[in-house]
Amino acid sequence: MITFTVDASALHAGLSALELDWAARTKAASAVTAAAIVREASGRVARRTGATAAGIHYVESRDGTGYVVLVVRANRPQVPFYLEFGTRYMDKRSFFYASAAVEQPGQQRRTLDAVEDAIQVNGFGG
Amino acid sequence: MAGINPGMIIKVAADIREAVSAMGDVVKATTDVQTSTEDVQGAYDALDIAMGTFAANAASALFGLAFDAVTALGKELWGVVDAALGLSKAYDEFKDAISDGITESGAFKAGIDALSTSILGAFGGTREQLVKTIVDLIEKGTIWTLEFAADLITLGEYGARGLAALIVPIDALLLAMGFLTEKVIGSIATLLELAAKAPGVGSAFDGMATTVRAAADATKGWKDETYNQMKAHQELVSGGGAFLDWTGKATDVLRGSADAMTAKKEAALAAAPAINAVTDANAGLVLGSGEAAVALYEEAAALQEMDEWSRAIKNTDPYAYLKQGMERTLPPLESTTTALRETSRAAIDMSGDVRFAAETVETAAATVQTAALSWSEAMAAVGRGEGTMTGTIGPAVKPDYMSNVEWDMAQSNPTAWSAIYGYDWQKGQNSMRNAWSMGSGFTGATSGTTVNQSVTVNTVAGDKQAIAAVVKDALADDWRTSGVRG
Repeated sequence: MITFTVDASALHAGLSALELDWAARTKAASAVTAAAIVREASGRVARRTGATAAGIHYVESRDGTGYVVLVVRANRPQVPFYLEFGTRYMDKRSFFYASAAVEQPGQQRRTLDAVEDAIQVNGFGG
Repeated sequence: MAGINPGMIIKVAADIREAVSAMGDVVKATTDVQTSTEDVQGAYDALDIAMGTFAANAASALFGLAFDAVTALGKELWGVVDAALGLSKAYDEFKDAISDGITESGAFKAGIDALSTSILGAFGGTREQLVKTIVDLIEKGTIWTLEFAADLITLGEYGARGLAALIVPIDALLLAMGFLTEKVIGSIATLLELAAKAPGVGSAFDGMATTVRAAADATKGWKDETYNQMKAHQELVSGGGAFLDWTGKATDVLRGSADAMTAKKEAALAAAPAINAVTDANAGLVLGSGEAAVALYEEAAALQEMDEWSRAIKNTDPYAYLKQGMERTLPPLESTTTALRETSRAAIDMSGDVRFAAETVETAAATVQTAALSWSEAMAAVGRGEGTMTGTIGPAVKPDYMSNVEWDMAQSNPTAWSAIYGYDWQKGQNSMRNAWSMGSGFTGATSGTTVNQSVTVNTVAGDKQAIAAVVKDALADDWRTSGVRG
């Protein structure tokens, strides 16, 4: 008797585990990038009182896939915009999105590392 | 902006949605493979029951490798390649074994042997059913194996895209899938070649093996020619590139072959009942002929006895009547006439069945190929009751002896010429002479041919009427022989 069977349960389970681990590792990589952006932006922002620099921080995104970096200044919320984009009375002194551009290559590298680590750990590494 | 704190936001996250979608395609493809596997399993189970457990181990190893490759997709890719390369010998053994198993099968051998001596022996009884059953199973197994191969390639396509999205080296996977697909297609071609040898319906599969071999060549191209292009990961993920072009062509060929085979299988199965009808009718005719032959034999024996009696009473002694008896009666002819009548009825029934069968076979054969017969061959086939002939009469062609005017008239009204130039009973008139002159202007008197005939009268009757009768007969005989009216 010739018997043919296809047992794809291990494949399916491996793919499910890979997807979960992949999300967790890329999220952790995003946390590193978010912290780096905070440091970079805090170092670039112009200081008179230090309130704008103090308002730069990061929190977990609402969809849970990564993080968001925020600039919040409670008393004068428009000041970060003035600095970032300038006004008719002053030139712009960009600090926020420029910091993100600086950290973008690092984010890509860390994401790739996270993907490959997840692949290796879950047995898809070949 | 007073009272509003819009802030500035940068979102930092990895977008894995596309890759996750690709992995979903992989899962879906495995479901298709599982479905195909069930079909192949069913076919081979039945084939196994019908033909025995030949090459079971080799077959299990071959197909086990295929599913091991799927199961262990991402775990031991290079190990799978090594295992695949090491299975060549097992596959060859399997192929040889299944070929030997079928060709040496008692059912096939009996069918072929019987075919050489008697059509009844080959197509009658349980042997025919067994042959047909085996052929049917081979067909099903072949078709489903084609579908399985197509699904396998689809799985490889989705798998390649999914793994490309994961930026994993996919070479090993593709090599393994290419090897397995080549072997699966090779087994399909083998089955097709075997099916083509089956008595009765095998011709329906002529040429199919060649098509599948072409697919096998494409598989080889997958491994060799596009190998270096498979590393274009982003191209794969986006659904383009040489690799996906090839998988599309290969699956089209395989599914096209499966569809064509399904159509031919239906045609072959349509022909089978017709063959049965011929067999049944032929069997009835043979039975009836046998009964008639027995009755005729008995009749002949009775007649011979009658002759002996007749000779005995005529040519022996004066007391023969007393010795042999005065009367002798032939046995009633009822049994002979009944047998002959039944035989005739069977022959009539068979002629209808044969014609029906031949037409059905002709319809089935038309699906496979167009027969090329000469006119005489076709007429001989019709004479044998193997079919009927139909055709279309071509356009009329003007004979050389007709004028263009007459020909043009005849196209619309065949009697137009006579209506204008006169009918036969108007012979002697100018119009008829014009008619005979074909418009050339000749208006002379028509004349016949004078033939002098010498008749020798040998009669002793001496009577004028008798002599006239002899002359009349002699002239008529000469007329019939020479065709000249004297």
